[in-house]
Amino acid sequence: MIEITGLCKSYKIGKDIIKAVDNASFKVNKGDSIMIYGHSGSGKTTLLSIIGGLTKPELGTVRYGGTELWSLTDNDLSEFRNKRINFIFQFSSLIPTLTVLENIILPATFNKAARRGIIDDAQDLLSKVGLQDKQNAYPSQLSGGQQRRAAIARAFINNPEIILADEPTGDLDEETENEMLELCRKMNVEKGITFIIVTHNTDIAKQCNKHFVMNRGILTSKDMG
Amino acid sequence: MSFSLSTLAYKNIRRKFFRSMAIAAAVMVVAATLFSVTTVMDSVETSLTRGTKRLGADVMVVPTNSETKAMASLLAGEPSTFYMDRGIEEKIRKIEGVKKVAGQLYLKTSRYKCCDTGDMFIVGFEPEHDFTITPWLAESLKSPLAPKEGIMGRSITAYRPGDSFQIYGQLIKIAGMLEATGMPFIDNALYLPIESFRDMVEKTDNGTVNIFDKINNEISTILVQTEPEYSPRRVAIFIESRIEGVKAIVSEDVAASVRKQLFTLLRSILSISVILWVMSILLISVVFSMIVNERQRELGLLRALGAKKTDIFRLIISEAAVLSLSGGLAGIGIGGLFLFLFRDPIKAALNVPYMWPQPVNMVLLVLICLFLSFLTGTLAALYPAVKSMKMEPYAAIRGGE
Repeated sequence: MIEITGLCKSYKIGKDIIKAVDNASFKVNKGDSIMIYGHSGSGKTTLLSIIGGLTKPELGTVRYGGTELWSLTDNDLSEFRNKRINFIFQFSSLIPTLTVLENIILPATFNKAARRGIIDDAQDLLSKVGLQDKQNAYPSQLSGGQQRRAAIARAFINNPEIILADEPTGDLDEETENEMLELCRKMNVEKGITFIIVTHNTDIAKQCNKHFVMNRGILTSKDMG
Repeated sequence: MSFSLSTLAYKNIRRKFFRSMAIAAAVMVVAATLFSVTTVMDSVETSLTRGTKRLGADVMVVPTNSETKAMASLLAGEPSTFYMDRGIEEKIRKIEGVKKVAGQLYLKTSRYKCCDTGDMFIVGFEPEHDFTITPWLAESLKSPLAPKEGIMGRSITAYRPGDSFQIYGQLIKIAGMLEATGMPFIDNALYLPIESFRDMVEKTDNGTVNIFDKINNEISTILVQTEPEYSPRRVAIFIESRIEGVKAIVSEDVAASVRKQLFTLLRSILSISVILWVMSILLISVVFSMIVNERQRELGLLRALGAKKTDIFRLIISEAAVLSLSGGLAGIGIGGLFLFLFRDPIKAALNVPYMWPQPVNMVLLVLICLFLSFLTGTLAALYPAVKSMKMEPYAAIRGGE
């Protein structure tokens, strides 16, 4: 379904050129749960951003079915992200001026076709993450964990084919973390949503069927036995 | 529940209310200054154009040393009286280049001694020679003015054509009304045929109204229309060189000199406003750059969720447009209020009649000021908006970390 071939991306820091992603290649099938493990600064987030169409690689291709992501125009790429991909970021990614409900339905703002029934879908997702009574609250009125749960709910709103998650459970306590991972697992099994998860957390590995390790930009497959 | 980019823009404006108000206030100051200065400029221009057009004469002849009073009457609408020998009128009629001559006699009535209407400016004119009053009648007279019939300026609202009222013991009937000119000198006057005027004088008790003693063979102003092939300035020189004790004022020179004097001052204020405008654009641009930097991660996030570059551009520009239009509207309101509240000091300072511009001009001024206000915000936000829309989503998200 997704074929990633020979991705390279480097950054210039002062006079040094840092290779964030160095010739990364792998294949993702529909419904896969892929974990990419690595230390901070190993290039995981950059790789995820290239796969999600957020930053352009210097070399390599990201092919979704028959579509080469980086050959799309900027508008088409935005539309592609809006309809087929969603993200869970490692930071609190809610817009502070919007209520929880408005944050959840935000992707539909950019896709008129997706607006029908969006409120019901959003409220349903909010009950799945235990925030049904917080739909009119603002992010500043929520705890860090609740904000993360709201961001996870938003990731499912546009029924994406793939969710790219960057440290999705970083701020959560163990109990909530397990609940969120269970939600992701259910979405993976019931709706066939593909997950690529970047994490330090080896517990997440148990839920994933493919594992990779990233070290200084080099991606290697890892057998978790 | 409807939610759109406009909702987000509106909520962003409310997020930092004080900062948003400061941006709107900067535009407001510029709009208020531009609106009030351009309105005053337009008022002055309208006043001068109307005044000279309304006067209808190319040259106005007054007694020497009375030109200041005459100008005050003409431009500021201050009733004043000055007299010269009526025989001068015939002398002027014979001067080369003179086409038409019409004399006018001025009388400022005094409170308690005059009439039902209170203080009034009475102008005696010569219907047989007149070319400055009757052409401005709102409706043509059905017949020539009879003795004890007069024409009213538009601002005397207590009477309508057909009504009569007492003036110095005489019953005067209103035969017609002039069109409004906006000039108090013209709009607040009663116009009587000069012979009726003198008749009224003769029948009035001189002991009570002693000013009439002076005007039996005198006249206040002689209005001159020149032949097309003679310039008014040349005819004025002829008049002054051939008749002693008079001053010939060229209408267009009056307007030109006042225009030059006032517009030099107003242009200086306008230049300061333009500098203020440019500075506001720079200032607001800096503030919007700060806003965009502050929201970099949010903008990157919006892009990640599917916002196009144009959505980001629209979001920032619409925030700027709403703030600048609000500031512009408030500025126009404050500018208008300022002009209304301080119309008397402004009038005193400018020494010309203060008239609001024509409705069409007023609408145009409001629209131009609103457009400039809109331009202030949008120009200021243009660079930050283009910069943020060009930013790669990942770089924006990382930049905000």
